[in-house]
Amino acid sequence: MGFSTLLDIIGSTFIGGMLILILFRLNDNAVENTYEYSQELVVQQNLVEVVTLVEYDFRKIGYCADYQQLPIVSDAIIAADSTDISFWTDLPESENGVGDGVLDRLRYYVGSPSAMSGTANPRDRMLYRVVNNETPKGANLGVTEFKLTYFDARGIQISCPVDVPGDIASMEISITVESTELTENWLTNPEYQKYVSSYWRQVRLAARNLRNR
Amino acid sequence: MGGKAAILLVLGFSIVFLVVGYNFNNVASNSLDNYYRYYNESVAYNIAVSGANMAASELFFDETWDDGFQNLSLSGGELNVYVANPVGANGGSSPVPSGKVVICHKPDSILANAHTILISQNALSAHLAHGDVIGRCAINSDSTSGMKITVISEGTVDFLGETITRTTVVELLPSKMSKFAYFQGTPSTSIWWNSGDTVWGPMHVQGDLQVANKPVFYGKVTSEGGIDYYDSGSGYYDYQQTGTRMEYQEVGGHWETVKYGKKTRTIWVAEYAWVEVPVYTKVWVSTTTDDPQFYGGYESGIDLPMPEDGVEGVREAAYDGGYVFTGHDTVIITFKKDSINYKFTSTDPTGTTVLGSSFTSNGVIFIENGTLRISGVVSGSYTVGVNGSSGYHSNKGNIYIDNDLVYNDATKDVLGLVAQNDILITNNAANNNDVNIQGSLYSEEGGFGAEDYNSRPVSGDINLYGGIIQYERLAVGTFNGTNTTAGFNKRYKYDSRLLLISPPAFPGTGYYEIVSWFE
Repeated sequence: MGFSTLLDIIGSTFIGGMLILILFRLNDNAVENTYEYSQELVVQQNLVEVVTLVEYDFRKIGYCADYQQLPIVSDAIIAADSTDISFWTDLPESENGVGDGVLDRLRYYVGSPSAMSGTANPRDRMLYRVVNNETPKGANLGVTEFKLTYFDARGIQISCPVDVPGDIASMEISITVESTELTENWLTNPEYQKYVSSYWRQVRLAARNLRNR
Repeated sequence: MGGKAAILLVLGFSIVFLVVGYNFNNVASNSLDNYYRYYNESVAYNIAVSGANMAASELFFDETWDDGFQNLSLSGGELNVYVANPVGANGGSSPVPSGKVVICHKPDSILANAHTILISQNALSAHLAHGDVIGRCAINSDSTSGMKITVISEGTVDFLGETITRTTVVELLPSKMSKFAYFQGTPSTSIWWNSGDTVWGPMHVQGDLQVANKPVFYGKVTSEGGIDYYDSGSGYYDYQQTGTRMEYQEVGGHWETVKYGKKTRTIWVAEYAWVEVPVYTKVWVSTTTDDPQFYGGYESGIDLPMPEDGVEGVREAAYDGGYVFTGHDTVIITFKKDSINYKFTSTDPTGTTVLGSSFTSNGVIFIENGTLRISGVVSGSYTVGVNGSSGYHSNKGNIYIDNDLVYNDATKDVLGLVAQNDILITNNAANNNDVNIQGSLYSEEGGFGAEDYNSRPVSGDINLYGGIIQYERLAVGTFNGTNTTAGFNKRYKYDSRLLLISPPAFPGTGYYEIVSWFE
C-alpha cells in the first residue's frame, strides 16, 4: 500500500463524507419542505371545507321548503354582528333533500383565541355552528378570521351590531385559515415564527330568498 | 471498487430524489385537486343557478312555458332544467332528461310538504321505499297553490371521472295585487313620503318614489323609476373607503449577519405579510337630510303597471259561481256576519237577507254598471266588485263605505273591495267619529279617499287594516301644520296574512313571483 493508495482512501473518505453531509442536508430540507407543503395542503383543505359549509348554509338564509312558514322575508336574519350571525333557514334532512318545511334557527360565531391554548398559533379560534338549541358544534380548522360585513338595499355598509337585521340585503364574508402549528420554528423569537395562511372572501353574498316577494 | 461505490451512490441519490420528488408532487397535486374540486363544485352550482334564472326569465315572458332545457352545454358542464307548470303548453311538464325520473317526494305525512323533485334513476328504489311516488305531486285544491310552478335546475360537471351535480329548486306562484300594503299606479306630483309616514308591508309606486326626510318602510319597496329626493341637489364628490382588500406587502425586517465562506456580510431581511388595506373610490356624498329607511329592501326599475283587466276578472268570476247585480244604479250591501243584506234604495227599511255561503258559492259579488254602498261585519272570504261607465271619477263604478266594515274574526275572514273607479268614505254621521275598515281595497282607475274631504267635519281616524291598491292617491282630509282642519287622520296597518292569502278572484299582477329558492 503506497502513498497514492493512502491518498485515495483519504480523498474518497473526504468526498464520501462531503456527500453524506450533503445527503443529510438534503434530507433535512426535504423533511422541512414536505412538512411546510403538507401544512399548506391542510390549510387549503380546511379553508375549502369551511367555505363550502358557509356558502351552503348562508345561501339558504330565509329559505323554507314550506314558503308559508316565513312570509315576511325581512324577518329571516334574527341577529347580526361582525363575527356572529343567527338566521332562519330550513336545513335539508338528507344529502339530496330540500328541507322538511320546518324552520331551523342557525347560528355561526367564533370563539375566543384564548380557548385554543392547546395549539401553537395564538390567533386560531373555534368556528361554531349551532342548529336550533343544540349544543354548539365547532371544529378547530385553524380559523383566525371570520368577519361579516353587511350592506343594505342601497349598498351602504351597515355598522355592527346591526340594529335592524331586516335592513340587510347582502353581506361580505372574509375567512382566514392558518396552520395551527408552526412551520418554521428554527428561531425562538416569535417574530420569526411562521404559520401557513390562506384567505377567502365572498365579496357580495346575497341570499336569494331575501329578495323574494 | 470505486466505480461500484459511485454507481451505488448515484442510485442512492436517485432513489432519495425520486421519493422526495414523489412526495412533493403528491402534495402539489392534492393541493391542486382540492382547489380544482372546489372550482368545479362552484361551476356546477353556477350552472344550476343560471338554469334557474334562465327558466324564470322564460316564465316571465310566457307563463305557459314548460319546455325546460335538456343536456344544454354551459360553462364546461351540462344543464338540465325540468319545469312542472300547471298551465304549461306541453301538458304541464317538460321532457325528463335521460337517466332521470320525476317523483313526488313526501318527507312526512303532511300533504302540504310533498313536493316534486327530479332524481337519478339509480336513486328511485330508495325513494319508493319510503313512500314517494313516480310523477308530479297532485295539484293542491287551493286555487293559488294549485298554480304553483316548480323549476328544477341541475348543473353537472365531470371531475376526474366523477360527476359533480348541484341542484337549484325554484317555486313560483301567481302574484296577487292584494299582497301590497300600498300600491300606486301613477306617481304623485306633489305628495311626498315624509317623516312620520310608515308602511308596514310590500309597496310599489309606478314612477319615482318621492321621499322627504325619513319615512320608514318595513316591507319590500319597489318603484318603476328611482328615488326622487325632496332635497336632491346638495352634495359633493369625495374619495371614500368603500371596502378593503388583502395585499402582500413588506411590514418590517431586521439586519442579519450571514457568512459567505470566510466572509461575513450584514444584510437586510425584509418580512412580508398579508395586510388588509383600504380601497378608496370616488363617490357622490349627498348632504341631503332625506334618508328613507328601507327595512325590507328596495329595488328600482320594476315596471308593474296597474292591471287593466282586474275588475273584468272579478266580474267573470262573479258570473262563474258568484252573484251579479244588474240593472241597479245603487246596491247597498250590509254584511251581517254569516248573512248578507242587500237593498237598492236607502229608504227600503228591510231589504233582502240571505245566507252568504248560499248567495255566492265562490265568494264573489259583482255590481254591473252601478254604485256600491257597503258596511257591516264580514264572516268568510269575499270579494265585492263594481264597474261603471269609464271616465275620470265617473259617477258609476264607485264604492262608498257607509259605516264600519270589519271582520268577525280577523284571523280567518278576508275581504276585497274592487272598484273600477274610486273607493270613498261616505260623508255621513256614522263616519264622522272614526271609521274602521278591514280589507284590501283596489281601485283600478281611481283612488281611495274621503268624500268631501275638504268640506266635511273633522272626522277622527281612518283605522284601516289591510292594504290600498290604487291608480292614484286621493286625499282624506286637509291639514294646517299638525292639526286636521277637515276629514280624517290616517291609521293604516298592513294585514300580513295578505302575503299568503288573497280574497277570491282578487286581481293579479299578471306575473309570477318567486316564493322559494333552494340552492
